[in-house]
Parts: sequence; structure tokens; C-alpha cells
Amino acid sequence: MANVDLIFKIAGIGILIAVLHVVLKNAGKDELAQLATLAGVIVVLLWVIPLLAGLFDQVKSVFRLF
Amino acid sequence: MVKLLGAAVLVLASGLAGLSVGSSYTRRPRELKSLQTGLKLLATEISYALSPLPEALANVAARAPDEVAPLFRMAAGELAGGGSAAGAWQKACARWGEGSSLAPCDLALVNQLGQALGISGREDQLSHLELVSGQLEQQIAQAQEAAAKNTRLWNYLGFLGGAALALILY
Repeated sequence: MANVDLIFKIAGIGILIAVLHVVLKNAGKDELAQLATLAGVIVVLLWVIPLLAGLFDQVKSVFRLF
Repeated sequence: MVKLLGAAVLVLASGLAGLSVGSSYTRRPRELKSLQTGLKLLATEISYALSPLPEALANVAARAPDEVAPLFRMAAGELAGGGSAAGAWQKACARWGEGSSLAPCDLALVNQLGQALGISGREDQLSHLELVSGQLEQQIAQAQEAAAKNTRLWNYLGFLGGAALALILY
């Protein structure tokens, strides 16, 4: 499996963002906490989207939906 | 291997940057407090010792806490070099402010004191010192509140941000 690394990276980002959210919220910066969470989601999305595109291409080619 | 080293350096660097920002938040109330102590010493010099301003400043510089001693020493030095008391005090203020972690509004407060020093009567100078001391009290309360909130935040934020960045770039 070539992309197991990516799963670990996503897990790492998830943990870091979760801690960051709690720290920012405790400091009374709720809106920054939301922003950090949103940034985490976007970063992970940018990593995952190419893989999803690959998956859809594969599905299309398997069922000959061209 | 090189990548791992780079990631470690990145986490360390941003962590230390966060720690230094956090420590500037803890330094500000401490510096404000010692500034207040210095001004009280100056008030004592003016009211009881009745010493002339250059001498009073030098005496305060010798006894004030380490953080503010340079301010009084520089002011005494500027005054010995000639010029008005207000100019000397403001120059010393500007030079001392560069190295301290005080906010601009704190420095403005100290700066305005220069206009009263040395030119007016004893009572007037004392009341000005009293006024600035009272305003410093408010700033100290504010600074302590900000320090309690922000110090821990920045200590965490540096390391967490560095780790997140290392992970994104990895």
C-alpha cells in the first residue's frame, strides 16, 4: 500500500487540530478555534481530493462509462 | 533522514518562537511593577531628600529594580549632557523602550511624565508622579489579565503550529 503514509498524516493533523481547538477555546479565542478547525479540514481535503478523483476515474473505466 | 531533521528543526524553531512571545506577555506586568517602584523612589527623592533632578535620578538608578534602572541612569546621563529635563527624560524613555516589552501606551504614559519633571514645584511634580502611578496600576491589572490568558496559549501554539506545519510539508 503506497498511501498508508497519507492516513497517518491525516490522523496526525486531526490530533494536532483537536488540541489546538481546545487550547484556543480555553484562551477565549473561539472564532480562531473555528478557523483552525476549518483550515485543518481544508488541508486534509486538498490531500484527499486527488485520490477521490482517481477512484471515480477507476469506477468509470471499470464500468465503461465514457 | 534529512527530512526528519528538517521537521525537528521546524518544530523546535516555531516552539521557541512561541515561548519567546509568551514570555514577553509575562515580562510586561513585571516591568510595569518595577517601573512603579522606580517612580515611587523618585517621588521619595523629590519629597523628602529634596535633591536636584540629576542627583535624584542617579540615586533612583542605583536603587531601582534591574529592569528600570537603565531608564533612570540614561535620563541622568542625558541631563548631565545638557538640555531640558523633558527632552532628556523623553530621549531616555525612547531608548529604554526599545529593549523592554512594554506596550506603546505604557511608554506614552511614562513619556508624558517628562513634561512635569524638573520644571514645576515639588507639589506639582509629586501629584504628576501620583497620577502616573495610579494609571500604571490600571495597566498592571490589564497586563496581568492578558498575561494569564495569553502566556499558556502562545507556549502551546508555537509547538502545535510547528508540528502541524511539519506534518503538512512532510
